[in-house]
Amino acid sequence: MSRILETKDLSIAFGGLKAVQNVNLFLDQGELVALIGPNGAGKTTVFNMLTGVYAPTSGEIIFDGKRIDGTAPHRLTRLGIARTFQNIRLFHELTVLDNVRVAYQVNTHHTFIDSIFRLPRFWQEEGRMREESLALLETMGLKQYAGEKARNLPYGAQRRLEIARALATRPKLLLLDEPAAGMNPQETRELMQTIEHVRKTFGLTVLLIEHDMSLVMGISERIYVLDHGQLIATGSPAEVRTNPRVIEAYLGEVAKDALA
Amino acid sequence: MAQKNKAGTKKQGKRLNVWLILALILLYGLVQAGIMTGIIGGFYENVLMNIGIYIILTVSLHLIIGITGQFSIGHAGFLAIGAYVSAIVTMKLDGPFYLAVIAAGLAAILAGILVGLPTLRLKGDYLAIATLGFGEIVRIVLLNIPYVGGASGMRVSHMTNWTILFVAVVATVWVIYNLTTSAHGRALLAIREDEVAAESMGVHLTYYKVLAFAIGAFFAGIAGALYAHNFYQINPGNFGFLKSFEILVFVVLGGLGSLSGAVLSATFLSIVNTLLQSFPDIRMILYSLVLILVMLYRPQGLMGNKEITDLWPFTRRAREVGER
Amino acid sequence: MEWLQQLINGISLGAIYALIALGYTMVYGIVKLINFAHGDVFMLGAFVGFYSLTVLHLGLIPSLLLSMAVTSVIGVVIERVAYRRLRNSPRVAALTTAIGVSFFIEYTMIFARSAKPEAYPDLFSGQQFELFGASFRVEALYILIIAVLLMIILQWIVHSTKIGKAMRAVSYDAEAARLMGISVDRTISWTFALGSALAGAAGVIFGLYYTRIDPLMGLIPGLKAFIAAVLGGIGSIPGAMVGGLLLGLVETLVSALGFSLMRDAVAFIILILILLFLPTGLFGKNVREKV
Repeated sequence: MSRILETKDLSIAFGGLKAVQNVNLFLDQGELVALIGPNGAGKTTVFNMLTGVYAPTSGEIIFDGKRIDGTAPHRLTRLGIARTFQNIRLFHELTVLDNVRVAYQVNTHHTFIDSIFRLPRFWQEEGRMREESLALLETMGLKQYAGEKARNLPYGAQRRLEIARALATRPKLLLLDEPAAGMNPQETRELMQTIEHVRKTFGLTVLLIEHDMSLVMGISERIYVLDHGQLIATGSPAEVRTNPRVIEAYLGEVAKDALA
Repeated sequence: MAQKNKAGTKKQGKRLNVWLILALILLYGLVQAGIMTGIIGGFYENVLMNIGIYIILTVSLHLIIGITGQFSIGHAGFLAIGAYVSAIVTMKLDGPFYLAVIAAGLAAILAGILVGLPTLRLKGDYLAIATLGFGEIVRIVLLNIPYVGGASGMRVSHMTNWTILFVAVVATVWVIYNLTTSAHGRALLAIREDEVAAESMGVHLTYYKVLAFAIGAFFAGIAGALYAHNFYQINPGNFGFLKSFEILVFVVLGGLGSLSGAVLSATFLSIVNTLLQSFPDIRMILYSLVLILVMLYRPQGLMGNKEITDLWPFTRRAREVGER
Repeated sequence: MEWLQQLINGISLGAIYALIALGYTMVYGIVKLINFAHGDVFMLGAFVGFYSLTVLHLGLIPSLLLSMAVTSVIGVVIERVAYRRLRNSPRVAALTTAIGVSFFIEYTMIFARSAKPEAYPDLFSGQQFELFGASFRVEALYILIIAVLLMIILQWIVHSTKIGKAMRAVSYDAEAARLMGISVDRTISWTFALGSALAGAAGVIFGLYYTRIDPLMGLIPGLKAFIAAVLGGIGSIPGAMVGGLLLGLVETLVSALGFSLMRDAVAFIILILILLFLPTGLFGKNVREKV
């Protein structure tokens, strides 16, 4: 097993606020790892650094043996990192097929000149793109929506489309930001099965952010727990579940919820 | 079954293209015959010129605003550059007109890239003000160059004719249609929809924004060449903010994201322009009112992001499933 | 002593920019809209002052107050009719509307009274005063006194009155302010009223100083004032004042150096540079987009 992603003392501060401090985590090829923590713990901020949206204040990110901190998001996508968004950021006015095709274009080789003059390479690449995008939609159970605008999809389908779109970039590492947020238990179970399925089919490494601890217990191999921007625990689901600091972090939140 | 269906739509699509080409040739031939026999007189010929020039301008701005979502309100700047560069080629250097048209487009591309690179990090209203600033800078610089006549401008021979206009309009619409319905066009649309998500899907924001600006500028520059050689005189006053505003109204009214909407509104409003030629104040009051009302009650414009081909189920379906 | 004269010229111009910029910055701070029609409110202010001085034969101060009253009403009406419905629309839609409103005001004015310029009456019959051996027009003194006074009053309103506190609360977080029982609509109306009144006052003193006014006079000073607001950090009231003064001084300097025709281009170059290298301006706060 080779190491695909590793962070060293990853930190970021916004103004004076230290949002994430000295996070050290790694993923090996093919693993499914979860990053959990209470609301506001800094999980999405970690994602935003891994995907180049924010540049870390200090620390390193190493992907596939290369340092990638500070690299622009579109470059990282080409290197093989794809992500979904917690607050669904589809291209709402585009069709489902076009959403996937936007992402798929990182794997095509025609230039805008080919497109403008409809040169042979355009037909070749666009044809391949369309076939493979439709196949991907089929895998994700979205084929019947291909011609619909993304904003007209039911909620669960929009979440699946987020994943399909990320997969279309053909990533090595897939980062899922609360993919099950807002879903009912039945949909969540199905989604977790889909994640397992695509992971096996595409040989992916997956880092999954989740707020609800119980969701990830079943499918993740290892878990990192983030609280107040710092990792407070790591290990197998069983180890994390019984870790007193984790319980405290989550209990604190339950207490806050109860008070609110 | 699916295979057969696909082959069927492809064949139908080909047949549609053949009809389209025939219709275009017919349109060109009829108008050309009309002009040659004098049935279409000077006044109507001029109306046609205006329609054609405005279609090019509107469609080129549609690429920047409607497709890429970059709110640019300095389009007259590119028009001005095209007009002046082409006038220099024909009037000062005695070059042929077609060369002037191409030079105008290339000069505008250069300007588009020059404006694009530094300003495209700006978003929304800041970009709008910066592009407005660009348009004003172009106008002010032209005012201050004695070589091109300063405030009194340049005399330009009438060289724009129906043939070159028709070719330019068809080329503009064809190129922008082809670009929009390709992977590159989808990248532009993705930027319009959500920049952060687009970037995360591997879309290189700067590259595509500059591409949209450069191509939009190219056609605006060509429109400038046709514009300059349709009148006998150009001066910096022709290319002020008012002109940019006019093009913006055309694009917004047609529907943000609709190519056919842009063509239709440019055609319709050019005719309105001609009718209201003697009442410039009323025209501007009308335009501003229409713009406000459209924004308040139908912000997606008349066509929204639909195309006129969506009226027919076959072509609509083809667009939805990405065959066209 | 020419440089001293230029300095006073620059400060006078800067004071006018600052007064207009305050309206931009206050409105932007509260509804995140570049009120494109603000320059035209300034133009209307100049005309109200003109008619008040020449037709109604009122004095300078009553004319100034009348102009401010009329423009504040116009500002409130513009917001109510054109902008309120678009508060939750994409900002580009609101900006497009604002551009529409701007052209509507300009061309309605031209339609109503033609595009011909007017000359402001010479209230001070060319009086001059001496300072350090240089002589200045009395108007410059009036501009400075009026501008400074208005800015002090504005500071007092924003920091010490109930409506000022509401304005700051709404610009900080409109939703929270609403929950605290502040009427957001009314606060926004007040913001437009105050900003427009300042633009109206700027119109009158512009007329006094430069004497020539016309229906399209608002565009360039309006854009310049917006640039001043960005320079100072949009949303910041002290920023608008400083930005206005700086821009006035820079423009006067450029003119004095013999590039007067390039004066307008310089402002836009400053704008682009500021947006690229110091996007939050001199006094602005850094706001991060949530992903």
